[in-house]
Amino acid sequence: MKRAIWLSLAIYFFLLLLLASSSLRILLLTLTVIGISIAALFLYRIIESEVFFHLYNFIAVAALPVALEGYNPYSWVTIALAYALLALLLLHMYLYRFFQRFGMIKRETVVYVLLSLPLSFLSAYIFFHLPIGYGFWGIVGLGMVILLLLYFLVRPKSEESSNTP
Amino acid sequence: MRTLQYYAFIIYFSLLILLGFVFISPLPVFLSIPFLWLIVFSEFRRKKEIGVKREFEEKRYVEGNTAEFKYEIKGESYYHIKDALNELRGYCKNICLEKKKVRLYPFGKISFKKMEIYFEDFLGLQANYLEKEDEGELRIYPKIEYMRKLQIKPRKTRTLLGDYPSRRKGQGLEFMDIRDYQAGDEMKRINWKATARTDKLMVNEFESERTGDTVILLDVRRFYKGEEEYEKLLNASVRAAATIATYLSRTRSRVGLVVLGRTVDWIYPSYGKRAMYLILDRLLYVRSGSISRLSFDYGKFIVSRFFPPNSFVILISPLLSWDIDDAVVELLAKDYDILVISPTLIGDGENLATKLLRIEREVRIRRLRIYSRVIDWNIEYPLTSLLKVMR
Repeated sequence: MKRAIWLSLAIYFFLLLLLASSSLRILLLTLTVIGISIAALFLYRIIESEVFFHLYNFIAVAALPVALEGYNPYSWVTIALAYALLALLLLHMYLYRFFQRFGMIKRETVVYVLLSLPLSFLSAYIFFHLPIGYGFWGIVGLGMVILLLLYFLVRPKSEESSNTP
Repeated sequence: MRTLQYYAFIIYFSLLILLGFVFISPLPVFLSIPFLWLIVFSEFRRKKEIGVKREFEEKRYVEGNTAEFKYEIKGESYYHIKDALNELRGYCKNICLEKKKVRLYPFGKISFKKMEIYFEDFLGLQANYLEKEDEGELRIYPKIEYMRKLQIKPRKTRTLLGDYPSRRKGQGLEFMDIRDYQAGDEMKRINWKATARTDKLMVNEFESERTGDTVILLDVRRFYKGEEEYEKLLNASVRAAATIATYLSRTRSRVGLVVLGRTVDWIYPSYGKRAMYLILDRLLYVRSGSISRLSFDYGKFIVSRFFPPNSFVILISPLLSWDIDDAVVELLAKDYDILVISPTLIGDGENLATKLLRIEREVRIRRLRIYSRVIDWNIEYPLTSLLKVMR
């Protein structure tokens, strides 16, 4: 299982480069982003601060749209490909973090992580097929939904802020 | 409490949306959705109360023993629990019972003062961190070598009855002399063979067995850097002190202790198990953490100031400091009887400094042998094998 931690990241980077190989410019750009991500990973191995863990993972996520720049972003195949690749990276993130902290990972965690991807695919499908998905009002509506979600998710919890015994 | 991963996912989500708008591409926006789903899963998952209980048998242990700890963990999450001795990690669903066996080594006292409990939900986005006040302690006593009978004994005894044969005649077990019968002598003491030979009543006389005062002077000062080597010497010295204290507490003699380490500390002589546990408890705290600047004169002063003359001083010291010889001579001059037990690691290190130290020590041992009994003890071998043949 522990081998899967690095194997998933290696496959992810390899597939990114494979997908980016259609154009030299995109390939170089992808290589640069992957390089930065690996540099941050080395920093994380040295400093062992969780901030660097999320930094290299985010750079690795950001490498995905760069590598798929040459593909049609509205195509279902491209989106499915992006989610498949993201699944590899999420697996790496979860396996690495949980094995490091707790020495194990439950199947339930992996299932929920992988479940988020088909649900996202379904969300993207709904976004395309509902009229709100396009145009100015679509963007404003999406922005509003995001802001509302962020508000509800980041707000402090009542029991933490309360001073009552 | 939310974890850093939670906020990282929020930032991932926001930055990917931003990237989508900046580069006018829907792909980063689509990539942001899984992170949102993970946050939503974590938010809507029902949380259960969490808690940890620990049980262990709080008794006296000897180093090398195994103690069993039982942890009862309540909650549905990943956990990381850390107390003074153990660290547990894993996943618990509802109620879990974790057992952990720990081999206790080396000697010392472990006080459970704080327990750190960290719980994280199944997606690593919600966490609970508690710093619970903990209680309980483990006393791990140094390993003691069993000694049935020791030949070493104080040359001078006190007036009270004890286990050491004295030069006085009295009610003991060791035969000493025959003398004429006097009125009041017990019948059982009549030596019938001698009576038949001399044709007058003769009685046996025995050595009177008296008690003695013994002071264990433990020199655990560290002067040089090699901490690891010194730790071995210290452990051996403490085990030797514990062995001798345990043996002496079984005899009817008074035992005291002086520890010369980073500071000087002492225990007045007392009898029996009380003395043994007082000394063993004090030995739990002996450590060679930092370099000592104490001279041996402090030890000499404490012995001569607080312990009666005629006491039997058992000095346990690696004899690495130059001031020991003169102090030992001074104590002898003050009527103390001294036995030196010098633990050493013969054969360790072949550099010039080690050779010099070894030569210095040998010279010191030769000088001490003129005045007192000295045991040059290679700690690879048991101390009792040397003490058995020592008189």
